[in-house]
Amino acid sequence: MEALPVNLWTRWLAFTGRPVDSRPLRLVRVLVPLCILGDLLAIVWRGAFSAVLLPESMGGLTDGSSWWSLVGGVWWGGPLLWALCVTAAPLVMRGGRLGRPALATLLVAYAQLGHLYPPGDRAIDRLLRTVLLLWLFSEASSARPASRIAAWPADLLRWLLVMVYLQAGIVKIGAKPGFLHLHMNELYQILSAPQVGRLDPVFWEPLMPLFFLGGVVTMALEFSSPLLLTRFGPYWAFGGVLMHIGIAIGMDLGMFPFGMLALYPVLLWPFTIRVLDALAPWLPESWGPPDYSPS
Amino acid sequence: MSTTAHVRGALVAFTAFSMGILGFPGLDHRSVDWLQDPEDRQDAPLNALLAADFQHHVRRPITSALSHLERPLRLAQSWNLYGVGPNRMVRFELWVDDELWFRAADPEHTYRKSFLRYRRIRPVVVHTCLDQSRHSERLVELMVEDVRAEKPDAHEVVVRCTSTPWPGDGDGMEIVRWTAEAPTWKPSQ
Repeated sequence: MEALPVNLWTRWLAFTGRPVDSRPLRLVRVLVPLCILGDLLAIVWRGAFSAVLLPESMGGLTDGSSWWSLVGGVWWGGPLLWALCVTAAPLVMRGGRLGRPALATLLVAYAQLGHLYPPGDRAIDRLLRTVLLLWLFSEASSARPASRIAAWPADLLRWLLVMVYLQAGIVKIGAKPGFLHLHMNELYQILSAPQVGRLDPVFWEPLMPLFFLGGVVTMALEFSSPLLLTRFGPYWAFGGVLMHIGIAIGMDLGMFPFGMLALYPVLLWPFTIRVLDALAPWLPESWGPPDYSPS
Repeated sequence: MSTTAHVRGALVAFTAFSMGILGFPGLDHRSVDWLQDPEDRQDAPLNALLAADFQHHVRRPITSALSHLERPLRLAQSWNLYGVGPNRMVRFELWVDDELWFRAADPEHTYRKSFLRYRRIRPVVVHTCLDQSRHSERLVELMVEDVRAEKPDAHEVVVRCTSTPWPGDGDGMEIVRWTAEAPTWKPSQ
């Protein structure tokens, strides 16, 4: 009986350290910084550079006076953080010797941007930073990642996303008017809300049963998200992909749906590997299938 | 097993536990004092009481301690999405000398639409209409600066929000109004 805790601990160590194909994890290391990069460039082409990155005296919306802000109050603080992020993101995507230092730089500078301009630091930014933090310690971010690495970052990511989707589902139970309302569905309201939705509320109002169906499917998907922790997870992930594509089409949420989809190579694990295997002839050698032969 | 494996196992266990307790589904959107008032507890079901006590006595001290780790990198996140839908359609509008330049979700009046709908600006726009965040006045000042650069001989800029029942095809009731006039251009409500 005394050996039981030791056995459990040994099994835990074996579980967290079990070797898996590193490519889905490396793909997330490429896609997450790509999303962040796109969003940072959007600050410029959306005409929000001065509003977001400069202090109030120079056209900014906030004074960046958060206690944790290292560069709040100086005019060059925001542009410097923006430049650091924009420079570091491609280096993280490229990997190699500079990959991990660039990842640490991106993580800190991106967090500082949040401290500088809190209204624009949304849940998706925080989720992606959490992923960056996990990946900072993952072998997927090492200078020359092995073809098979420890699985723990993938497990933690799945666990995190189960929390996210379950919470999003539970909140919808008590929602008003509610996602299961037949006459004034909340999904309809969200998708046609003036500031964020893309649907014409007058045109779509007679089609309310469609939104009721959409609400049922959304809630079913969110409540079944614990499947991500099982062998059915990759099949669940197809539903998640469709949901986020629907959000990208129906709402102007910027980076959110793309940031979420950037995490899906891990959720779609076996399918990601199949796609990468099929694309292997056109990809760099390091993205080829792992060598399983005994060394 | 190597020391590295033990350290890794411990850190992964700690991280998984932290994620689980911080994002505990069903409790994340409840206040720490949920169902702590004896009057509220009288009619509450047993499962809600157990959850509330877990929230107050177990989860709160742990999340409070973990928040110190989250703050520097701003990792704390909430996924209480769309608990309360917008029961009325609220529109942000920009008027310059009695001429409509921008109205949310109006394809014919789209001045600075890309900016106002950008995800980092939108929360300020929404709060300007709903609960007047401290950034609201600054947003109005920014709009005034933009308008004056576009139309130097402008006399008056009005930022207002209207509210209509869904689907929002009628005239809205004004719920917020900021006005800035030459020569001072100081926004006032």
